Amino acid sequence: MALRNWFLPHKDTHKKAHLISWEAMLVYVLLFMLLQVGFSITVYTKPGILGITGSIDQKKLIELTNTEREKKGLGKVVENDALDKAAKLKAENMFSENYWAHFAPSGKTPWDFILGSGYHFTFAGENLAKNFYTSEEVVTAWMNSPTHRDNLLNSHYKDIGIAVAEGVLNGQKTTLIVQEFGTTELLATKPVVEVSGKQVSVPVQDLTNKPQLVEGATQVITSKTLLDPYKFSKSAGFSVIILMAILLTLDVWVLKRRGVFRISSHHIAHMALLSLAAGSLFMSGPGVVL
Amino acid sequence: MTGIKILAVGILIYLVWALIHHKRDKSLTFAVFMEYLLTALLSIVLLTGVIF
Repeated sequence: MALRNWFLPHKDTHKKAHLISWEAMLVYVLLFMLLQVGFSITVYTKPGILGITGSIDQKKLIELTNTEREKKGLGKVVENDALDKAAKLKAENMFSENYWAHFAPSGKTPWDFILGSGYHFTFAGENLAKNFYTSEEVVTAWMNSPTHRDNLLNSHYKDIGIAVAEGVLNGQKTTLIVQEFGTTELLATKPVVEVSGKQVSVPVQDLTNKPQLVEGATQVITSKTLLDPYKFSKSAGFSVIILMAILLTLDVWVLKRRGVFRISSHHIAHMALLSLAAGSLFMSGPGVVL
Repeated sequence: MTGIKILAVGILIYLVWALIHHKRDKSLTFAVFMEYLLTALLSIVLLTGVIF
């Protein structure tokens, strides 16, 4: 099998280059599926080997939050030590109980952490984020989600607390961001916490029986993170798309020069779809907000 | 998530167009069908690796 036939149409039969034949496409699909399965197995067998290392700064998040609030004519929120502690306790709890939600599987509520840290709010709210690389990406994602934006731009809030914590969640090294808002000013309503766009009234017994939350040790990352699975998948995806675009272009050019006709699928349609895939790949990231 | 929605719509248009075009053209062979199907599948697989 001549090497040139892998990249160029066959000189006698004019068959497509092997690397853009449907058999090769099947191999690419299977290889990418195998890669995903491999990543899934790795996170269970070697927790912490795969993951994301972000450069997220707590102060920068507060600054960006206030920038967004100022754009809407709202007052700045001021960093509050008790809310910082609440956010830290919440992040540590998510790692220790291995969950990604506003309410813990053990029954802990967002206000347990806020009240437990000594912040007696009348109105509070919580935004969560994970798997982002920069502070800007986090705030942009919150602003792009209507419920998180409403929370971030709530005029009741006077104080803010943020925690940026690294640990292992579901076998993957993750950076969790917990944003707690609150006010202690007297409002007409009973104490309320806003989570996921819903206002939840705090039960009276929760206000009187302040939960005792102990600062726990975050799950320690014992092994060094070797690979970012998302960056790796993205790079591999772009490589395949670029390779296919080059080979499809070469195929058209060579056939035109030879002046032959071949029953085949349309390269322009493939290239249009691959361009769309490349665009989607470029825009997408692993970051999620809750 | 927006990316995958846009791509899903693109794939739907791509496959429907391919079927209609090659059926009319009487050039819808197994190999041609597989090329479209696997290109669509590859686009989805590439993106899901980054999102999920």
